[in-house]
Amino acid sequence: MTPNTDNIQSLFITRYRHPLRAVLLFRITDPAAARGFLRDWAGSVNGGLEPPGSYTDTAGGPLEPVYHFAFNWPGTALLLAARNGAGDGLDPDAIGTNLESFFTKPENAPHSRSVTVSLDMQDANAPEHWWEGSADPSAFHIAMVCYFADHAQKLDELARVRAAAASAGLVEWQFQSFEDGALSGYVPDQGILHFGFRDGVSKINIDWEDTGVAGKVNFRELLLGYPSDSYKVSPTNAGPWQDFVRDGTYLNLSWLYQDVAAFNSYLKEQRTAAAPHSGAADPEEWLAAKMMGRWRNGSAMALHPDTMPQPWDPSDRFGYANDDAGLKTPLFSHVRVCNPRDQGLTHANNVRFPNGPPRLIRRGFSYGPPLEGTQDDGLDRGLIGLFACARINEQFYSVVRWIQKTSFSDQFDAIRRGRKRQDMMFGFRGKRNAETTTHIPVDADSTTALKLPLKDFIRYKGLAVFFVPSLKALNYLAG
Amino acid sequence: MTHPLTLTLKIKQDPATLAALEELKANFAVEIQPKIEEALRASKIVHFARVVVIGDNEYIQVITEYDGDHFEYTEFFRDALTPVFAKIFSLADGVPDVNDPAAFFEFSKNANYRTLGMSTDNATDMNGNQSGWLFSAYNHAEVRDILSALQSQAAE
Repeated sequence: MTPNTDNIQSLFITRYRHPLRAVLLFRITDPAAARGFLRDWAGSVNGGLEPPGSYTDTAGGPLEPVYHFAFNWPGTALLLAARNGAGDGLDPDAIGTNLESFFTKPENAPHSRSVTVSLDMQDANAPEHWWEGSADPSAFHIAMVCYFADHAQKLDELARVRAAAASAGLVEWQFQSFEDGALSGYVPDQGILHFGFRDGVSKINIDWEDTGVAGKVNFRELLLGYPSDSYKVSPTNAGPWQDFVRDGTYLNLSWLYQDVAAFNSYLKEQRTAAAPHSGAADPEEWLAAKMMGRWRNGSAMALHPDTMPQPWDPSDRFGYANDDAGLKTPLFSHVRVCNPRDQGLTHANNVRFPNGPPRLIRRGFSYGPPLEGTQDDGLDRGLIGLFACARINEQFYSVVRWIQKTSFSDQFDAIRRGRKRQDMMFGFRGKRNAETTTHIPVDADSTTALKLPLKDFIRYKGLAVFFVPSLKALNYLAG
Repeated sequence: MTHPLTLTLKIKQDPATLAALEELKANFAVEIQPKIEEALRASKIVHFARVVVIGDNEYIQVITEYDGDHFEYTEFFRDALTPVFAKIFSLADGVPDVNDPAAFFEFSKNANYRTLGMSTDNATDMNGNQSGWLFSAYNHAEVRDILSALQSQAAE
């Protein structure tokens, strides 16, 4: 059985051209009325690979607003109960272990102690600081992802959505630090994010026909409802729950603060140390690229290890198998930790991921004004990350753990304290026993590495997990 | 950081189960033990492991000391040792289908018994709370650290 892409919400299987984006979080107070709201809006939700407003839509025309829906488990349960889903074998009170406990169980929710300890969400990253630290992190049920063509459309549509939501008893969780009260932002010019790197270079090509052809990603990395021997996606047993979640996915909503002033200051502070190794490249740019694994313009260090090519090289055809020591792309660079490609993993991880490292489908947007220079202006800025996958713990949480502790590959054994190091861009440096220095090989035989103290550049301001239903399941919930 | 696992299952007392238990005991060294040993040796995560039947064939325990995050390698062990877990789990009531990752995760979490006392290395349990006590003569060094040290020593 292969997926019917028209049944999949387009959010994670295509890319929209809309420059303005927002995520509205709603709490359900009246499930029946909430279903009425969904009935009114579900019809406008796009499915398939070529929806209006996407880059694959060749019809052109003005950009109409786009909406997608996702629900956390409490929200899903409320809607199923109101729908009398039990009559269809979907009793939320008898969920048992049909779905992954990292979605359904409060003790394994993102803000639970078990998960925050597992993911090293401590100190400034701890849940008490999430969502502006002002409310119960379980007090929302619906994530409505909205894409807009321009500011006027955004203002009009937000007002329209909010009026409809309020009349359906949906209470919006508004954020004081955002001008329009929602987690909202924009796609920056040329896709260059706050730290100055072009994003969105690596695009996942999904193998919808299940051919297994090299270079494509198995659709089971994304979709629920198609478990196989290599992808034990819950629920693994056939039945109403598997039918309900089929063609759906999990949305891991991550609110990430980026400390641009700290990053820029760091590069300046380490300029002298980097200079002897940067060759023809500017020392700060070279160091930034080594930490990211890509030059600022998005070109891969694996393909351009010495200088940033002009124009930029969008090629994604590279691996790390011929760079065991990380001479071109350091083992602890952000892109290599998050997607080690063909770098060997440990035996245990090879068993867990027989088709290669776990993949995430990334969407999201920047928020807050750009900042240049080393003086912080005190304004909030960062990334609202929308990461989709079929297995929360095995995929998303694995990558989050790898960022905090690089023990996923045997290659780290060759480096002093290699399994206790972190992603050079994104680790929480206060982690107990963590090795918080850079390791950037700088000579041809990789015997010498640049060792610089690392700092915190990114921190979590919120993390939540939602189920993105198929269009069929969305309409079922809406009734 | 090293964690203790004390997976404890109450054995059904019907004649068929007790016969299966005796068969498991008789065949353990030849059939079960090598499979567990192979998987655990390759994992480089587990320090020690043993399977114990206690009481008058009342309980069976799988006891290990392992490194790393509680949630990271559950799926590896389930996958690598599916037939072994299936055989052991078949002796008890209320056990999950070992082919079902979500069910296996829940069961192994709930069937693990906390040790007495308090951890001395900031170790936490599967609920994120302070773990029970686990003595370590080598300050909770991980398996890979120990293997690496032994390898270095052998090379000298």
